[in-house]
Amino acid sequence: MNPKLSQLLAACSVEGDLVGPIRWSEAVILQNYGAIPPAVGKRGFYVWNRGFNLLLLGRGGVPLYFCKCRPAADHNLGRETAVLKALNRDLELSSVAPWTRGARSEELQLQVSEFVPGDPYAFDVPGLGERQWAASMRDILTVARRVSIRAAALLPDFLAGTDPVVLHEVAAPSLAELGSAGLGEDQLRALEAAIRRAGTLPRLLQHGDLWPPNILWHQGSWRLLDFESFGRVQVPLYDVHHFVRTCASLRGICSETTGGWLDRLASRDREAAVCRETIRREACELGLDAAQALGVLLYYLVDMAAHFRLRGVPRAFWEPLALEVRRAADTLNAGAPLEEVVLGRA
Amino acid sequence: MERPATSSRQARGHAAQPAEPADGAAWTTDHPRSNWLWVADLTRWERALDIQSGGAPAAAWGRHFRWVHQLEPPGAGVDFAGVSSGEAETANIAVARASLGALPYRDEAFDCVIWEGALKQWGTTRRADLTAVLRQVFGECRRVLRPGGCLYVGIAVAAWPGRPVGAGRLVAWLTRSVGRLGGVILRGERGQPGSDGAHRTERLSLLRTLRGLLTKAGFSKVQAFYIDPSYHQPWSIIPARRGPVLVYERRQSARAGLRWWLAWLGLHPLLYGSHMFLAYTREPKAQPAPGRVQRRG
Repeated sequence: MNPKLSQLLAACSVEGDLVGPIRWSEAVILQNYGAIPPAVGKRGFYVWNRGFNLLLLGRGGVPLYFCKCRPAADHNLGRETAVLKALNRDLELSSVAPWTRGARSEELQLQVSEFVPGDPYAFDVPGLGERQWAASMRDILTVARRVSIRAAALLPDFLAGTDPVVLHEVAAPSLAELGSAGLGEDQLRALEAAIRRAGTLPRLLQHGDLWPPNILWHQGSWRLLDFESFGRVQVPLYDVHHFVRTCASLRGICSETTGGWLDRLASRDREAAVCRETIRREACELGLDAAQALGVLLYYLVDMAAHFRLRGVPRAFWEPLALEVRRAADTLNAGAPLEEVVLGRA
Repeated sequence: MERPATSSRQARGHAAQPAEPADGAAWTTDHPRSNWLWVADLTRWERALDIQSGGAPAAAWGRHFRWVHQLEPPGAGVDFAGVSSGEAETANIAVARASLGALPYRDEAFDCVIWEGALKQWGTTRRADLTAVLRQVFGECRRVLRPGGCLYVGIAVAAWPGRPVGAGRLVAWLTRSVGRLGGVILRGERGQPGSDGAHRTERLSLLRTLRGLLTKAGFSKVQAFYIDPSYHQPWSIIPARRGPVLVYERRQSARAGLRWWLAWLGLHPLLYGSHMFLAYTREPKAQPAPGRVQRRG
């Protein structure tokens, strides 16, 4: 093991079990997506999530710790470490987030968490029956909502303010980004108007990447992973839209061959009805009306597309989302009542 | 230990960084293979020798070591574009051209020798020829490494020719019987192209052969790793041991499919398209003072 990494691991140790030398056969590099230090210049969004993860095994090959290693310029890892520490210290949420510590050097930032065993929801979700799927989504979203509400008290500095969120104001930079990517003026106007109709919403910290691979079932409860984006978005229902869309995608409900997400959400099939019902129920729990739920859905699509583009990922990643945004704008311009189409009747 | 810091070297690097390339290029030019250095048991980071075979540019190694000597085999076009994109990145990189069979450096000159794509440029597919070449180059690498130094060898397994040995013979016979069917299943499970199906059984011999050659060359400790899913997409680096392989495969899928069973049976080399070896020279009893690198011949 590289002595520079060993020192950081030792600095993270509380129990003392990481102080001893780690043998070469006890470290598995995973998600190795970027060199540390970066081989090409990177700033801002480009640094995010680049680096690698390390799975440390104990005697007998049992996973003990999951480590994230990121370049020194990454701003999200330290943020995530703070979130996980706060959640794990909280009696109510300690089962949701693992024990975590962080350390950094000139080149490398390290986060060490206890390994969370369990079955990824992503493995199960394609095979669940309709009722099981609906129930699991409800349970997971309840946990996520509990985390969001409690985190506001645990991490007050994460809130951008105490005032409600003015949705069209937070959406403006993303719309401008998509405008520079070729979204038409009339499309931008339609989206801006629909988002503006949502008005203001109560501020709520969002997980930011709540999708099935970041959710585990362990010892009778749901655990959430990957809080690197936590609090970046403070618009309620954002996580719900992301979660429902990605679940549906894993179940094959929406794909390039079956049309876009909005088309499928508006369809008459039973699984689409489950999606609409889930979104409607969560909106109700959060005290949002149909115009607000639609406004957040549009904001979510616009924000995701713009965010992926800003991160410099290949066009193939964000183009389907941009296409979805275009479809939504064209539907709005055609005068269709999008609230009822995609969310159903209340 | 939460202390933000920026070294002067990093600061120079930031100042010289070009604009971010468009359309995802930054995500595909990052050379994450160089992250093996974070699991290498290397205590000194002064001088590295980079034997160029089309792997990561020397700049990737230049960010870890004080000096990098990049060696091009004779006849290879020196890719200066791959070496540098600004003075800050090339100040510590020297380029030379020489035969790998007689490295032009004095004994114990380097802390680390990096050889990526080790089987690529020999122009032969005969295993006996390749083995002879590897034996000679490994010997030279051992000679120029200081005590406690490390040789890294990265290999895309599809480049490994020849007949399987030992357990490989049995597996070759078995897989010939169900070969095409198994290949289809493996490809189906991982969604990978299966053009190297014929080479799968031969991978079993690679691990043993390379270990043997490195040990015979005088390396005291040899560690083998698998790289998954491929040489060009090194998203996972897994110690070539049963325990880590089983843990890794368990994380890839909910069900115990054919891949998991092959792993359980110890036939790991069949599963991975790229291997990596770290071979260490024996540690010195007392650390010598760092010497000056001299060109030989």
